[in-house]
Amino acid sequence: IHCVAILNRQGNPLYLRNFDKQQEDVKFHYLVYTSCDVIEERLEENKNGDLFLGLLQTIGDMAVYGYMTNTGKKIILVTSVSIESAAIRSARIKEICQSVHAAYIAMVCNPFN
Amino acid sequence: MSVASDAERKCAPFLTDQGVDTNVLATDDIDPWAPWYTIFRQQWINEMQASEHESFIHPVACMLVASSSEDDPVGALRALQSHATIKRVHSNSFGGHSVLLYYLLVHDGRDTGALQKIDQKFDQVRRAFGQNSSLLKINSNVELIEADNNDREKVSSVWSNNLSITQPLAAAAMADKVFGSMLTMRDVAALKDSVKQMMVRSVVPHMQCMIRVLSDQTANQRRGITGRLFSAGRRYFGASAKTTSTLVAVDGDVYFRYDSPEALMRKLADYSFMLKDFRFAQSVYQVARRDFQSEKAWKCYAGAQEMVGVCKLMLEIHASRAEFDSNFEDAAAMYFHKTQTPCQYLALRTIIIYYELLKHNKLYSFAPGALLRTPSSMGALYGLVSEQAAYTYLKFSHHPELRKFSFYAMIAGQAYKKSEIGGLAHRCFRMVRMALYTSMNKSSSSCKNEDKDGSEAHGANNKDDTDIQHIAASSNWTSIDSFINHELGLQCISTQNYDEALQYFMALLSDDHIPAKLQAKYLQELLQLFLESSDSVAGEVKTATTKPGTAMELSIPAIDPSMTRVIMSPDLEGEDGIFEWRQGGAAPSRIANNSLNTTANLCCSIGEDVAILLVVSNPLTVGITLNGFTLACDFKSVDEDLSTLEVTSPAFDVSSVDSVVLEGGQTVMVSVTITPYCAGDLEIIGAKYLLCDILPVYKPLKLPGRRLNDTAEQRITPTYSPDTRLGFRVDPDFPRLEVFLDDFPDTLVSGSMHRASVRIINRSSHPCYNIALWLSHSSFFDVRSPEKSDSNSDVLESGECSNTQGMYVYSDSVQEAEQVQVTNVLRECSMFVIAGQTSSSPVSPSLSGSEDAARSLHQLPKPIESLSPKETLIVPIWIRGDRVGAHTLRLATGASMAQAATVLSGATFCNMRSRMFDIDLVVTPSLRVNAFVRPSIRNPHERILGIEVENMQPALDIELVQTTFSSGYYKLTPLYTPNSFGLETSNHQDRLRVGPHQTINLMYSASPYGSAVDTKCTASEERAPSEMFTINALRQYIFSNEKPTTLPPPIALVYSNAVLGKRGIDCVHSSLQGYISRSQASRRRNLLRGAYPLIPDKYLPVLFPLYETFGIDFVLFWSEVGGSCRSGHHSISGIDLGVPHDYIVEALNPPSKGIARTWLKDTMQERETLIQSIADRSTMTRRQERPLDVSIKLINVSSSVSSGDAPAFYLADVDITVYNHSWRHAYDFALDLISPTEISKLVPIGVRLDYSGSRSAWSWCGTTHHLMSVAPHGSKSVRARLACSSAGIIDIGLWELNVQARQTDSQTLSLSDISRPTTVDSKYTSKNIECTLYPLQPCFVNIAAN
Repeated sequence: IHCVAILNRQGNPLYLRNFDKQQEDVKFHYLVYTSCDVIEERLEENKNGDLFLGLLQTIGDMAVYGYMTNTGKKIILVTSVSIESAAIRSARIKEICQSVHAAYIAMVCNPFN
Repeated sequence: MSVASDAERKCAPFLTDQGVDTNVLATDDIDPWAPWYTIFRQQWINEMQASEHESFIHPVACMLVASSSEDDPVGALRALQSHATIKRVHSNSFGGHSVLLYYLLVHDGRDTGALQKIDQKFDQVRRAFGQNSSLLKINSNVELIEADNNDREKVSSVWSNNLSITQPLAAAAMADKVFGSMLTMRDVAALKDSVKQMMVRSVVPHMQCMIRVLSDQTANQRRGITGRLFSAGRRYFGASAKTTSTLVAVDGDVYFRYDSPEALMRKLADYSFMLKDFRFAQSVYQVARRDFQSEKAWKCYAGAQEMVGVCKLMLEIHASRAEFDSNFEDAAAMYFHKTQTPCQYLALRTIIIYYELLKHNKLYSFAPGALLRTPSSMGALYGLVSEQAAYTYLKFSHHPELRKFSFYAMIAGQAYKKSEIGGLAHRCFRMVRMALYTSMNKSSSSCKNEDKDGSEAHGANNKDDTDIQHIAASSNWTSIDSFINHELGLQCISTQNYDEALQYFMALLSDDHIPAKLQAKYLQELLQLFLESSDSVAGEVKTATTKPGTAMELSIPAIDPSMTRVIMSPDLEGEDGIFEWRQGGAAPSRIANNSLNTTANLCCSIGEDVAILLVVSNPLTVGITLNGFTLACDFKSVDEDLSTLEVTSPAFDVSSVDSVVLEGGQTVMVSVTITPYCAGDLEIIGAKYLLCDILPVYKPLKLPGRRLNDTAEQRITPTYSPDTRLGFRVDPDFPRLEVFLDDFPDTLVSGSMHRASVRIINRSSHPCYNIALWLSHSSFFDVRSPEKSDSNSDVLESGECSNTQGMYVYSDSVQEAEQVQVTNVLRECSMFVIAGQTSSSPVSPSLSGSEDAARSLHQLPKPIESLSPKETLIVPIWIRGDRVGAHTLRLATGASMAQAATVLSGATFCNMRSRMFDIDLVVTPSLRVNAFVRPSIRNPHERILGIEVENMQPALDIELVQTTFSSGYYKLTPLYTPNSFGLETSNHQDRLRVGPHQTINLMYSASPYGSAVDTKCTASEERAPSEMFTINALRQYIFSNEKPTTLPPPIALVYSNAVLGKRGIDCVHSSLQGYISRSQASRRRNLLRGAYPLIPDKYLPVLFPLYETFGIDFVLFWSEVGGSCRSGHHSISGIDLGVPHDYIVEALNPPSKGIARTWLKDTMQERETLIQSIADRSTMTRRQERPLDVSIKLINVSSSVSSGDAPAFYLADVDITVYNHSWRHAYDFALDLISPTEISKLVPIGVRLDYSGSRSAWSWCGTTHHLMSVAPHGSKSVRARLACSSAGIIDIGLWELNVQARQTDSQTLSLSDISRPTTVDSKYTSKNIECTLYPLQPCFVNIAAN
C-alpha cells in the first residue's frame, strides 16, 4: 500500500497519508483526486449497495481502489500493481478498507479528539 | 509554432470565469481548444513515410509527361520510361511490377500553329502506350493572363488555399509567393479534369484489376479450407518457399518480399481499403494478420491489427469496445515493444488515427486510454497527447470529468515544461488551476446554497482581472493547489513575467497547509524572484509594470484591519475618547460609531501622539521578519489654502518600527505613532514594510463600513458606507490634557481613608474651560477642591501629606447632642465640576440661585475657572474602602474647550473628550458593625440600640474613637459611658480597644430628642416633614399629570456624639459631613433604585428625601493602634427602630381631587403596575411592627389580710401605659387584661406558650376592658389592679390590645373618604390601621409584702 486517503462527501480530503518514501505527496493527491471522478462514474453505474467499489483505475504502476461509506465518505487505497489474481487481491483490499472504515468511525466517535 | 503563440495566452473557451460551461463542452469540437494539435496532425499526415509492411504510400501509378513541342513525344516518353528513377520505382522491393505507368502529353497554348500536329502526336502516343495516356492543354500566354487580373488571383489562391490546409506551416513560409502565375482558371479546370480522368480512367481500374488478380492469386485460395490446408502444408513442408518469401531486415524485423503471398495479401487488403471496400479489406486483413502472427513478423502483424481496427471503426460505429480497442491496443503495443527498433512513429500513427476515428464517431470514452498509450519519453508529443486526453475527459457523454481533466492537463503541462515549451505548459497549468477552482466551486455550491452568494460576489469583484481571481481561488486540495501555483510561478519566472509570478507565489504563501520545509523554500524563491525582477527591471527601461520602488501587495503577514485601534496619547493610562456626558450620574459613554457617519469620530489635537495598534499575524509556519514597518496615511487639511502652502513641511510624522520578528503562526501587536502637525483629517490607508528586508510590501487597510440598507439597490447589492474607523481628525481646538492618577492605593482596609489625587496638566495651547470628573462609586470617593500647582514638586509634597490629617478634624468641643439644620436633598453626586463656570445645580435649574448655599451645605469642591496651558491642576481625592471586596472603580475626566459651560450648566448631555480610568481596589475587612434594636422595658417610647463591633483583622488592635448618631427624631445616649464605670485607667483603654477577632458591644438608648417630644405639635407635617413630603410628592407623581418639582425641605438632624477616645472628631461642621452625606446619598439612591425600579432616576430627588426622620445613621470612628496612624470610620445608615412608618402605601391611595384624567387604557395600566410594584415592595420589606406598645409598671402592693397572720392575698396597683409610636395616626384601642385563668384565650393564637409559673395564683380585678384613644407619639395610662394569692415574682404581661387608627386624623386619609369607593381605596391601606396586639415579652413584677 502506498497511500490511504479519506475523503468527505464533497470529495474534499479529510486525511491523506503517504507511506511511500520515494514518491512525493502531490502524486498521491492527484491520484486520489482523479479517483473522485471514477467514483462518481461508478456510483452512477451500480447502485447495488456494496460499499466496496473495487479497482477504480490504474495509472502507471499504481492501482487505486475505492470504498464508499453510506454517509458518502470515501476511502481510497493506492497500491502497486501486482501479479496476484484480481479476485484475491480485491478481497484483501476490501478487508483493509473495512478496517480503515472501522478506525475512522472509532476516531470520529471518540469525543476526546 | 507561430499559430500556437497567440492561442497560448487564451485558455480553452469552456473554462470561463464562472466555471465550466457545459454547453460549450457538449457542442464544441476539441480541435479549436488546442489548435497546435491540429497543425501537428496535419503535418504528421503530410510527412508520413512509406513503410515496407504496408502499401499505403507506395506508388500505384507513375506519370510520365512529355511536351507537345517535342518532336517525338513517344521517343521522349520511352526515354523517360527507361530512366533509372522510373526503373527503380517500377521494380523496387515493395512496389513490385504492378506500378501503373501513365503517359501525359502537355500542350502549351502558346504554340498556336501546331494544333493538328498535336493531335497527330497524341495519336502517336496513344498508339504507342494504349489507354493510359492523355492530352493536357494548358495556356501560358502572358497576354491572356494579364487581361484578367482577377483570374490570376483566383488561380494563385487555388494553390495557396490548398497549401494552407495541408501544410499550414509551409504555406505561412511561402505566403508571398504567387502560384500559377502563368495559368488561367480555364487551365486550372483543365488540370483538374486531367487528374480526374487519370484517376477514373486509369488508376482506379488498375487498382480494381489488381484486386481481382490478387484475390484470385492469394486470398481466395487461402480463405477456403484448401487455402488453409495449403498454408499449413506450405508452412510445414515448403521450407524453401518460406526462406524466399520472408526477409530479415537490417534492424532485425521480419518482413516479406513484395511478391510473397503475405505481402500480396496485405496489398490486396490495402487496395480494397483504399477503394472503400472495408468489409472485404477487413476479412483480408484478418487472414493476413494470422499469417503474420504465425511468422512472428510483428511489425506486419501490428500493421494488420491496426487496419483491422480501422476497418471495424469505419464499418460499424456501434461496435463494442472489445472488438476494435483490443486491435488498436495490440497494434500499439506491438509497434512499441515487439519490434526490434521501436517503431514509435508507427505506434503514434496508430494512436492518432485511432483517436481521430474515435473523435469522428464520438466515442470519447475510449480516447484517453488510447492516447495514454503514448510513452512519456516522447517529450513534447507526450504533452500534446496528454492534453488531448485531458480534453476527451471533458467530452465524456454523461458528465465531464473535470478532475481527470485537470490531472492530465497537469501531466501535459509537466511534459511541456520538460521539453521547454513554456507557453503551453503555462497554459496547461492555468487551465488546471481554473478547473480546480471550478470543480471545487461546483461541489460547494451543490451542497451549500448559501455559499453561492459569497462566490458570486467574489466573481463579481474580480471580473476585471482573471489572474487575481485565479489566485484568490483555492480548492480544498491544498497540496495540489500549491503544486500548481508553484509550477505556474516558476513558468512565469522563466518567461520573465514577474508580476504574475509574484501573484502565484503570494498565493502559495497564503496557504497554511504547506509543510514548513516547502514553505521556507517558496519564501526563498519568492525573495529570489524579487531580487531577479528588480535586477532585470533596473537593467531595462522602465517598461515593465513591476517597479522596484513601488511596493506590492502581499498576503503575508495578515493584518486584521478591524482589529486596528487608534489610541490617542498612548503614553497615558486610561481609555481615551469622546464621551457623552449625561445628566443624572450615568456613566459617560463612548459615542456610538454610527451616530457620526460623515466625520471622523476620533480627534486629536495638534502635536499629540497617536498610536496605531495593528494586529499582525503570520500565517506561515516559518518565521519572517518585517523591517521598517510604517503606515501610509492620507492627510486632508481642513484649510485648503494651508494644504497648498505648506507642502514643504509634512503635515504629520509617522514613526516606523525597525523590525518585527514573527515566528510561524505568531501574532504580534505592532504600534506605530503618528504625530500630526496641522489641523485636518488624517486617514490610515495602509501599512508599508520590507518583508525580510528585501521585499517592499504595501498592504492597504480597508474596512467596509456599515452595510447600507436604505434603498432597494443597496439592498440587492451589498454596498458599504465609507469607513471612518481608521481615520481621525486633527483639531486644534481639541482639548489635550494629561491626566495622572497619583497615589491611588491597591488595597485598603475597609473603612479607612486614603488620600490620593488626580493631576491634570493642560498640554494644548488653549486654556481649558470645562473639566469634569465622574466617579462610578461615589461613596468611595471624597473629592475636594482642586488647586493649581506650578511645578511637579508641589505635587509630591502634597502627596506625602499624612494620610488622615485632612480628613478628620479633631476638636475638643464635641457636644453630646446638637441639632443642626441640614439639606435633605437626595443629590446625585457622582459628577464633580473641577473647572468651569458652573451656575446651577445639576438637579434642577430652578434652584440656581441657591447654588452657593447648596455647595456649602454639601461641601462640594469649589471649581476653578479655567486651566491655562501648561498649568497643572491637582484634585485631592480621598478614597475610602466603603465595602469589603475587590472593586473596579471607574474614574473619568472630561474636558472641553468650549467656554460656555455645557453639561455643567444643566444641559442634559454633552460630548467631551474624556479619559476613563479603571482603578482596581481591594478592600480588606477591618471591623464588622452590626446594630440591633430591642424595646426598652423601662420606657415604652424608648428603644435600646446595641452596636456590635467585631474586629476582623487578624493582628491589629483597633481603637474606637467616637460614635456619632444622627437622626431627625431620636437622641442616643450611651447606656454606660466610661464615666459611668468610674474607671479612667487601664480598663478604660481596654474597653475601647478591640483586639484581633474580638467583639465588643456598645449599648445606647434611643429616646425622642427633647424638643421633638416637648413640642406637642399635632400636625404630622411638622412632626415628620420628610415623610409627609414623600407622601405628597409620590401621590402627585402617581396620580397627577404634572410631575413634582419641589425639593424636600431641610431637616433638623440631631447629632448625638459619644467621644470614646481622648479627642472628639467634629463631623458636623467639618468637610466630613459633606462626605458622609454624599455617601449616604449614593447608598440611599442605590437602595431606592432597587426598591422602586419603575421610578426613573431623575425623579428620585423630588420624591424621596435624603434622610428619613425616624431613621438613625450611625458612624463609628476608629483608628489603628500601633505604628501606622490609619484611621477610618464605619457607618450604618437607616437603622430602623421598629416603629411604624410604612407611610408610602398611603400615597398609593388616590387623592380626593386632582387625579389626572386618563382615558387611555395603557396609561392606566402603567399606573396600576407602578402602584402594585410600590405596594409590593413596601409591604414585603417591612417587618412586623407594632404601632402601640404597652408597658406595665408596678405602683404599689398592698396585702389584704383576711384571716390569720399570713396575708390571704396581695393587691397590686399597676400603671399600664400605652404608647403610640406612630407619628401619623391617632389610635383608638381596646385593652383587655387577661387573667391567667383565661390564658387559654391566648394559647390558640400561639402567643407565649412558654408561660409558666404560678399563673393561677393571681388575677386581675376590677375592670379589665378599657376603651381609649391615643394621639400620635402620645401615651395613655390606665391604672389597674391585680390580686395575687402569694408573694413572689409573677409575670403579669398578659393582655390583648385591639387597635384601630383614628380616621379623622387627616383629611386625605382614605378610609374616611367613603364617597370614593374605588378599588384602590380598599386595597392599599396600612396594615397598622387595624390590628390586634399581644405581649411580646413577659413582664415580671415582684409581689412582696411590704
